[in-house]
Amino acid sequence: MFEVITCHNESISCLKLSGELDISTVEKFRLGIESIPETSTEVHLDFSCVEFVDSTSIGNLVQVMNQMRAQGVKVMVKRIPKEIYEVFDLLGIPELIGEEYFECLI
Amino acid sequence: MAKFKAKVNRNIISCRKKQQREAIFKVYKDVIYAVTQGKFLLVNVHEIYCYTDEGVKLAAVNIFTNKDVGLARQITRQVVKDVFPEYDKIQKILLCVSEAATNILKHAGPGQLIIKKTSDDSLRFIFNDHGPGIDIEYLPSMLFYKGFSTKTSLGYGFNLIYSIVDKMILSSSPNGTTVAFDIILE
Ligand SMILES: Nc1ncnc2c1ncn2[C@@H]1O[C@H](COP(=O)(O)OP(=O)(O)OP(=O)(O)O)[C@@H](O)[C@H]1O
Ligand SMILES: [Mg+2]
Repeated sequence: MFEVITCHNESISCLKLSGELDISTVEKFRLGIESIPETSTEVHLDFSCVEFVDSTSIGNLVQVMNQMRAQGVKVMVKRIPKEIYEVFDLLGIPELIGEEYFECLI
Repeated sequence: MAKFKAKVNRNIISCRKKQQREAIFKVYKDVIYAVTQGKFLLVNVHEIYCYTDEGVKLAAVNIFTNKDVGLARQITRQVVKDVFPEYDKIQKILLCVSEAATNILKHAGPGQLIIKKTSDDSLRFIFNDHGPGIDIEYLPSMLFYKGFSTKTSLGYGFNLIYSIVDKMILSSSPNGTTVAFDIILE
């Protein structure tokens, strides 16, 4: 099961993801991203209810983050559970994108 | 007569080529085995049966569609729970299963996962497919270089599996690939 709940206000969009992210959910994640209005200058991805990530879903996330950045949108990955962050770390993603864009759940 | 000679010559050449391929394969096998200190074993299509026949089969999952990757993880979780209820690093095993199953779908077409118990404290995960195979020339990059991919993905999957598991066995030919890995549960 994978779900995306979105809420948009003037310039910030929030996407709360929940469930397991893998090859079967890449499309649904994309649809969630596409629903973000063009007026948004900042996007927060809430990962607190994400239960699983792998190289495919992280690859997809990296792609999305790079695309949005190229359009001048700031993307933050927030409230990442410890064991999910471990996978980001294993893949060297925070170093690649910038550690300041990733916030762990405390 | 001339025709016969030409045929003999062709046979000699193809025989030499085969010997050459086998010699190259053996170099890759020995070097990778040594560099990984016995952790990564490259075997040919005849030898792989020694490793896939071993142990007691606990589960099998067909990897046909994207949804099956999640199913493979779910069944893995159940098997580990049944065999070693107090094991607490399951998340890493699920990651390896997800990577290998996804590789089948991305690079090979349909395939299958078989989970076996090979000793009191170890499980073997065997992934079979009939895809185009992995070129052994790519193996060093796949194992030791994060971010190597023949496609436009991250190219982290294979390296990730290698860094997590206790032993990895690979056999690949143009008729398909078998990736097996062992996890020692302690
Ligand atoms: N079962 C397979 N059959 C054929 N080729 C494979 C198979 N598994 C892996 N490969 C080859 O090995 C390469 C490396 O695999 P790896 O999993 O590391 O990267 P990827 O699948 O391309 O990207 P990522 O896993 O990061 O999404 C692949 O690009 C592919 O060419
Ligand atoms: Mg992969």
